[in-house]
Formats: sequence, structure tokens, C-alpha cells
Amino acid sequence: MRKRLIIAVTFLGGLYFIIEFLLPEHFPSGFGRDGAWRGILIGEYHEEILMGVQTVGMAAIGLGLINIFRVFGVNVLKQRKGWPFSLTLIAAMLAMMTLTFWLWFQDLDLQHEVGPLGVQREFQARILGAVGRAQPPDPQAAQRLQRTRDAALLRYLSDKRKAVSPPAVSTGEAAAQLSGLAGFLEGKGAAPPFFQVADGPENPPGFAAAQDLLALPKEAETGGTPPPGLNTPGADARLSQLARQRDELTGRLLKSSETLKAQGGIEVGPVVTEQAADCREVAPEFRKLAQEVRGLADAEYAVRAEPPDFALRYGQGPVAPPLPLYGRLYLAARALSHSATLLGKYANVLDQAAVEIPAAKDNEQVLSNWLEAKAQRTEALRQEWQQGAAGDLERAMPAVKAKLAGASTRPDSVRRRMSDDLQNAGTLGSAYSQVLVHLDKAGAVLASRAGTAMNPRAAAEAIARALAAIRNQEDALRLLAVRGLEQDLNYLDLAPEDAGKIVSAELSAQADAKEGAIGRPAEVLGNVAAAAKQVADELNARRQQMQAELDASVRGLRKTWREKTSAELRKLRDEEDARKREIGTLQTRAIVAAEAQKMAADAAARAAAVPEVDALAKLPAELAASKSEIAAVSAVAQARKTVAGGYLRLLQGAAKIAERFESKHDMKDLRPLTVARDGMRALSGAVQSDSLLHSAASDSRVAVQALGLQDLPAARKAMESSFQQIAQTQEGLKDALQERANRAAVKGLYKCLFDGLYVALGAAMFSLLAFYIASAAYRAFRVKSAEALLMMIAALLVMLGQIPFGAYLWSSFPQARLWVLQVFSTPAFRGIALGAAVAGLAMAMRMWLSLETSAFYREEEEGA
Amino acid sequence: MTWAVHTFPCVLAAAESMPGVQHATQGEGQGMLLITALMIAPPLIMIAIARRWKRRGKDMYIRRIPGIDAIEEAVGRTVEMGRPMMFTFGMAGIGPLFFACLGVLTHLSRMAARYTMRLFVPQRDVEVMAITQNAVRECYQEEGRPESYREDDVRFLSGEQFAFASGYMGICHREKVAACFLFGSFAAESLILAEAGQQVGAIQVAGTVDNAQIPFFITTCDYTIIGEEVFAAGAYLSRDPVQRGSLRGQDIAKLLLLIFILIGIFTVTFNPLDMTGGADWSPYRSDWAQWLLPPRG
Repeated sequence: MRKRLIIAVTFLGGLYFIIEFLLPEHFPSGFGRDGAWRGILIGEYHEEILMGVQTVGMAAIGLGLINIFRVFGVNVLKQRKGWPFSLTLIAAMLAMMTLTFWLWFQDLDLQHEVGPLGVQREFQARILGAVGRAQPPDPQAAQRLQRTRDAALLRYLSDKRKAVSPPAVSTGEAAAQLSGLAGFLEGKGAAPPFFQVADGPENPPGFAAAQDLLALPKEAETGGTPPPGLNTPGADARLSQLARQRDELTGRLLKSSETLKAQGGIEVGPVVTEQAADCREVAPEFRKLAQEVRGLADAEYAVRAEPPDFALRYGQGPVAPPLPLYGRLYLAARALSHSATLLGKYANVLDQAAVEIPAAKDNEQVLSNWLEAKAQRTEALRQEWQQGAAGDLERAMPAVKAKLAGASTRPDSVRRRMSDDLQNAGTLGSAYSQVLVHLDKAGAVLASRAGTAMNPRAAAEAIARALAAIRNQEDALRLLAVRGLEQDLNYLDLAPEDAGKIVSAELSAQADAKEGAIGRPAEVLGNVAAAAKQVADELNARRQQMQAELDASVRGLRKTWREKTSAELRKLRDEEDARKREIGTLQTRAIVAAEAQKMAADAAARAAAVPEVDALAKLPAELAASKSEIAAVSAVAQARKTVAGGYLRLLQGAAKIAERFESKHDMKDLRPLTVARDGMRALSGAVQSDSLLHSAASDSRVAVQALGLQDLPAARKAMESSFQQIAQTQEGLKDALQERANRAAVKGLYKCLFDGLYVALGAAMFSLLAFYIASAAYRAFRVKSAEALLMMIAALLVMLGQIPFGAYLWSSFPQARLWVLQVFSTPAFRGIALGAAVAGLAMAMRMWLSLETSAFYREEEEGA
Repeated sequence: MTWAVHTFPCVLAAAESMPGVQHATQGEGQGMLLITALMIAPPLIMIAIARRWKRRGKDMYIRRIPGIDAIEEAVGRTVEMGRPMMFTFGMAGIGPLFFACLGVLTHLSRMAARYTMRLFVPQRDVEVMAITQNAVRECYQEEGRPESYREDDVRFLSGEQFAFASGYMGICHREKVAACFLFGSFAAESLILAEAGQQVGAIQVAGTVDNAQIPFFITTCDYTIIGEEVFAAGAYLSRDPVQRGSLRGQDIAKLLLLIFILIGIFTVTFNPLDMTGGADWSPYRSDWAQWLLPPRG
């Protein structure tokens, strides 16, 4: 039972701390199914629970202390071996405990002296709270609100201007947008993105992405009301002129795009360059247009007729106002400037393509020609080999026949071997024919590849297949000889058995001759194979070289594009983040504005309907409580003032005596006098504080009277003054008492024991380390084994890298030291740390789940 | 099943937003949660397997650790010389490391009781002292020698680092101990403790997870048990199926960790799973990498 209880408490305790660690103190609003769940707010009580647990844990310290006194006390009482040590320990512990308790009581005393003044603070807070609640509406608040709104509007517009800078885009995006532009200009599809404003978060609500920003709004957009014109004189006409210019420029781009399309997309040639030039020419035009439109927008903004609370209403959802005209123009200017940038980028991409694509094509042509030459050479070699082999066979045949004729009586074993050879001939014959087939195929593939499209990989593979077949050339040669023999046998029209006899006789008798017969074709075939291999190697090398060149070219292209793209992507991402932040700010601003409005309305309603009587009605009860507190504080202050006056008189007397003593004996540096002077200064501070306290109490009284007369501003002012004086008093008193405590003999004794004994002895022990390190190092660096030698070398490197002398000897010692530490030492320590962390985790889980059955639970198990 | 499929990502997402989880995983997201779970699971599974084996009479094999074998050797030497031995937890407080080292201490206490030797266990933490006294006394009782247990052999020296070290040195020199066992957590006092044993010619075995103290122990002690071997010592000595299973599970967890590290190295070096088609060479572009380690900021 007891064991189960311990296990349950352990598990629940662990579970609590895990849950507390994982759960947030406050859940974000909207968490849970209907957004109303606020979570289990353990965090609010965690501190209290933790203190409770710690208090229970402190009981163990108490038990431990009792244990120490028991064990060492018995040692002393029975005067066991080493009892003086036990006595020293007990005496030291008792001394330090006494002193610490003493100082603790002193501190309590100080708190007791200063603490009552805190009552006044609470009282003041309550009065101020009541006064704040009953505050009448400020007549200037409306003006302030107005100013806030104007400032918000200005800030909004300035933010919008900043947002009008063109975003960076990728070349792929530029190309896509340009083709989109071409489609749009042809009347197919929607407007290209860079002639709109991206429907991103920076657009005001209600702004339709596809509208033409350089045209004045139509009736449909303004919700049926007649569309307003521009306020600047002559701006309408200028705007339509600008729109026409824009249309002309886009028409020019369209024409260029059509030419490009007619050429079948992006190809090598002047078309690409022309297109780039077009883009480059049109871009500045767009930029000029953008400047003009921005000028118009500025002019329009100067004479704007927007409602002043535009910015405050902005971002409040479905009731948002339509985009003002100057805002529309700003956006149009941004769109134009954006498209100019895009065109510039697009032109760069086209230029690059015009340079790089012909180069790639040239490479292809060179490879193709070379492959063709190689194919021809391979074919020639193949024919030469076929002829040479045939000639050799013909030349060898008569000798073979002659030898066959002479060989008719041979042993049976030779005959069997010969018939086996004949048996194998079929297999070898097919292998041989495969060689020829593969060579043919390789030649054909080379020829076809060289003639038509380039595919070096396929050609190389064909050659490799041929080579793989040629590798069995020895077998093929043997086959060649045997097949020749077989043909001869057929020719002589002999029975197989007789033929076997003849052949076996011949072969065993004339082995040298046979080799001679085979030698020539073998040599030729060897040459052919070597030549073919050489061709293949060359092809391979060339292919690899070409491939490497192509790869390098492609890699270069890709790298350039990737760098551009990634930089642009990064910029876009940054911009997106900035926009998100902006949205956040605007939303916060909207919320704050809504809150402000709500508060203002609330205050106005309260001011109109319920005057401060409501708040004042609650005051009498508080006043009754506060009056008694004030009386108490005043009594303390009065008493303190009396005491302080006495102190002051005493101190003045003491100071006079001290001055007289000093002037008489000229001993200004004497310590007692210095102490007396310091003490006098401190106590003067206390006296000063007490007079402050006195006036604070008077101010409090004034505040109470003012409250009785319902003169709230006067009460507030008196309370604030009172509070300030009380705060000063508290500080002064605290300083004075602290000073007194610091000069007490107990504190001196404590410091003497702590700083004089404890710190000094600890430092002495610590300094022993230096000597022990030396002796340990001496033991460690004795070279007794290979490991010790390694350790010695590593240690030397690290030591020489650490000291200036090492760097003087060889400037690379510091780098070598770093290398040793980072490459050898750090990974090793990381491995140790990883292992220990995993083991610690497993041990913690075992303890939490009470799986640990070491010494701790054994007694319980046996008891149960 | 469908419910589980829909719930699991929600739970993961909710967990990731918890401040505690963010703190525990350093804001590294779901991948870290997954890895933590993978580190915890193998020891628990292997503990269950080891307990089942034990019930069937089978024992789980664990590798040899020379440093722990040396404990027996040191005890043998102490018996031959007829001098006491000493054990310390250093600065370890109540925690996983302390309980791991307690396994070694109980083993030593049992041997001390069996061969009637004195075992000094000086203390610097009162909570540790209470548990240690209990554990050592029990061992003497289990061996049938309760009268051999001396209460002041498990003695408190000081809670302060160097005061404790000086007390330890004093005992070492006065009692001329023949073997010292330093298992636990140590700081700057490690060399002082180990040198004291060295000066009286004691055979010394040390075990710690504090990286900075390992070199000192290696130079001064006869055997040093490094890192997680300290946690394995109890399992090695006690044959307890829970500890043995846990040790085997830890090895599996470390293997998993190694595989993760190798995958990480391979991914960062060759970027084979880039989902963006090479637009950006950074491994963070691939979806799975972003899921595992969301980019900061």
C-alpha cells in the first residue's frame, strides 16, 4: 500500500510538472472549437504550488541538519577518534546559524519600521482610482481625437508612398508577365499582373485588382453616385493623354511580341536582340509616365477632399470607404514603375539568351561532326579486319588440309578432346557472329547518329556493347580456327569419327602450326579490338569532354539564373514579411482606434448620464477606513518627529564636539570621528525624512477634507504630494536603518567569519589546483605507450598554440591547436554528451514511471 | 482511424504553439518533438521486453565495460590490504545521475558488508545523505551483517565545494584508504579529490558525465568511466532487467540518432530530396525539411 502511494505520488507529481511546462499560461483567443476555450490556467497557481513543494523539500534539509548534530554530537560526547573535528563543525555551524538568524531578525525589524508607511500608498491608490473613475469628460478631448485622426491619415499616406517602390521579380516571372502582356494586348485574358497592383495586403479594401487605374472611376465602381473628377485644373485631360501614351507603348510591345511568336518562341537570332532593345527603350518611357502620374497624384493629394477620419475607418472590414482618387493614382504610378523595372530585367534575360544559345548550338555541331568522322573510321577498320581475317584463313587453309591428310592414326583420348572441341564449336560460332553483329550495329548507330541528331550517350553505349563482345576475342579466335576446320572436314566429306581422328592427330602433333595459323587473325583481330577500343576511348573522352563543357555551360547558366532567382526570391520574401508587419500595424491601429472611439463614447455617455456622484457615493466608506489609517500614520509621524528632533540636537552637539576636537588636534583622518560624521549624516537624513512624513500626513488630511467637500482635483493633488513625500520618507528611513545595521557588531562578526575565514580558506583550497595540475600533467605526459605519445603530441600542439611563444616559433601553431580542438576534441565530447543525454532521459522516464527498482524501493517491495 | 488521421496533425500543430514545447525544442518545431519521442520510446519498449524475458528465465546480454570490471579488482585489492575504501557522489544532487551512481554504491556496500570492510561515503548534500544512509544500511542488513554498519561512515563534510574537498582529503590521508570510487557530478574539486587518492596510493575508479572533468580523471585515476557508461554501471552490476532493458534501449536510441545525423549530413551535402527542382540549392526549400526544421525568423 505504502509503495503504491509513493508510486502514485511520484507519477502525479511528474505529470503535473510536465503539463505545467507544456501548457501556456494563457491560451490565445479563438482557441478551441468555438473560440471560447481559455485553457487550464495552471500557470496562475504554479508559483504557490512550487513554494509548497519546496517547503516540503526543505523539511529534508531540517532532517539532515538534525542528523548531522546527532552523529557529530555523539562523536564529541563519547570523545571518539577525531572528535575535535566534529566539535569544530558543530561550533562553526552554530555560530553561522546564530549570526544569520540575528541578521534576519534585524532585517525584520527594519521592515517593521518602514512597513507601516506602505498603508498610505494603498489608501492613495484607492483615492486616485475613485477620482479617476469620476473624471468629467475633457472638452479638449475631441480636438485631440481630431489631431490623432489627421496624424493617422498622414502616416497612412506616407506608408502608402513607401509601399509604392517596385518589387523585385525573377526572370521567369518577367517572361511570364511579358507573355501575359502580349495576350492582354491582343484582347485575350485579363490584364497582366504588372499593370495591375498585386492584390496583396497593401491594397486598401474594396480595391478591384483588374480595374484600369489611369481611367477615372465609373458609376458602377462608385455605387451609383456620379463619379468625381480630378480636383487639379487640367488634370483630367492630362490623365487621358497619359493613358493614351501608355496604350501606345503597350501596343509597341505587343508588336514585338507578335514578331517573336511568329519566329516560334525564343530562338537564336536578331529577333531576341530586337525584342530586348524594344523592352529597353520602352522601360524609360514607362518610368517617365510613372513620374508624371505620381506628380498628378501629389497635386491631387494637395487639394484632397477626403473625410479626416478616413484612416480610422480604414481596415474596419466590409464598410471600408472606396479608394480615394489620389490613392488610385499613386497605385497607377507604382504599377507603371514596376512594369518598367520588369521590362529592364526581361531585356537582360533576352540578351543573355542571345549570347548563350548560339554557343550551345556550336558545341553541338562540333560534336556531331566529330562523331561522324569517328563512325567512318570505325567502318573502315571493320572492313579492313574482315578482309584481313579472310585472307589469313585462306592462307592457313592449305597447311591445315595437308596436316589433316597426314593425321589419321591418333589415340582415343585426343579424339575425344577433338570431338569436345567440335561440340563447343556451335556455341563459339554464335559468339563470333555476335561480335560481328555488334560491330555492325555500332557502326550503324554511329553513322546514323553522326548524320542526324546528336546523341553521344547512345553512341557510346553502342560502342561499349561492341567492346563487351570483343572482350571474348580469344574464344572467338579459337572458334574461328575450329569452324575453319569443320568446313574443311565438310569439304573432304569425311565421316565425323574419321574426321575426329584426323583432327585430333593433327592438333596434338602440330600444336605449333595451329598456333601459327591462328596467330595472324588473332593479331588482326587484336589490332581491330585495340583500334575499336581506342576509338571508343577517344569517343568516350571526347563525349565526356563535350558533356563536361555542356554541363559547365548549363551549370553556369543555371548558377547565374539561380543566383538571380534566389536573390529575387529573398527580396520578395522580405517584402512579404514587411507587408505582413504593415498589416499587423494597421490592424493594431484599427483596434486601438476602435477602442479609443469606444472609450470616448463611453466617457461621453457617462458624463452626460451619470455625473461623478456615482463614484463619490462609494467614497464615504473608504473615507472612514482611510481616516483611521491616516490617524495611525500621523501618530507614527508625530512620534518619529519628536525622536528625530532629539537625535538632531544630539548630533548637532556631537558634530560641534567633533569639529572642536578636530580643529584642536588636527586629526581629521581619525576613524572614530569619520564614523561619527557619517552617522550624523545618515541620521540627519532620517530626521529630514521624518519632517517629510509629517507634511505627508498633513497633505493626506487636506486630501480627506477635499474629498469631504467633493473637490476631486484638490484631493488628487494633495494625495499625489503626500505620496511623493511618503516615498521619500521610506527611502530615507530605510537608508538610515540599513546604515545602522551595517555598523552593528554582529554584522562585523559575520563579515569577519565569512570574508576573513570562509572565502580565504576556499581560495587556498582552490589554489592547490595549480600544483595538482602540474603533478597530474607530469604523470600524464610520461611517454609509456603509443597512446601516451599521441596524447603528448596533442598536448604539445595545444599548449604551443595557446602561448605567444608557440606562435613565435611557427605561426600556424594556433591553427593547429584549433584544428585539434575542433576536429578531434569537439566531436568526441559531443558523442559523450549525446550518450549521457539519452541515458539521462531514459533514467528520468524510469524514475517518473517508477520502473526504477534500485535501492530506493527494495525495502518497500519486501515489506509489501 | 479516420479520426486519428485528422486529429494527429491538429494535436501536433497545437503542441507546437505551446510555449513549453517551444522552449523544450528551442523553437525547432515538430521534427524535434518527433526525435524526442524516438529517444524516449526504445528504452521503454526494451524494458518491457527485458522484464518479459526475465520472467521466462532469459537474461539480456550487455556489452563488457572494463572500467566497471575494475571495481571488483579494486575491492579485491582493498580486501588484500585490509584497508578501507571510499565512495563519493561529488556534487550530484537528487536526480537521474545520482540514482545511476547509487546502483554502484549499493554493489560496493554489499561487498564491503560481505568482506567486513569499511566503506566511507562522505556527503555534501543533506537530501542525498538521507537516501545514501538508508541504502547502505539496507545492504549491510541484506548481507546479514547489520552490526558492521557504522553510522558515521556515511558522514556529512560540507555543502561547500572546497570545504568538502578538504574534508575528503583529510579522510583519505588519515584512514589510508586503499580504493577510491568517484561517481557522480564534479567541478573544479575533481582533481583535488583524485590527487588525494593518488597520494595515498589508492586504486581509483572514476565515473562522470562532466566533460570538463574527464581529462583530470583520466590522468589521475586508474580507470575512468565516461559519459553514459556511468548510467550503464548499475545495469552491469545488478542484472536488474529494467536497467538492462533500458541500457539496450538507449543503444537503439543512439543508433537512431546516428542514422538521423547521417541522413542530415547526406541531405545537406547532396540535397537529393529538393522538391523545388533546383531553383534554390538550399535544403530548406524541400517541404519535408521545412516541416522538420522550420526556418527561423
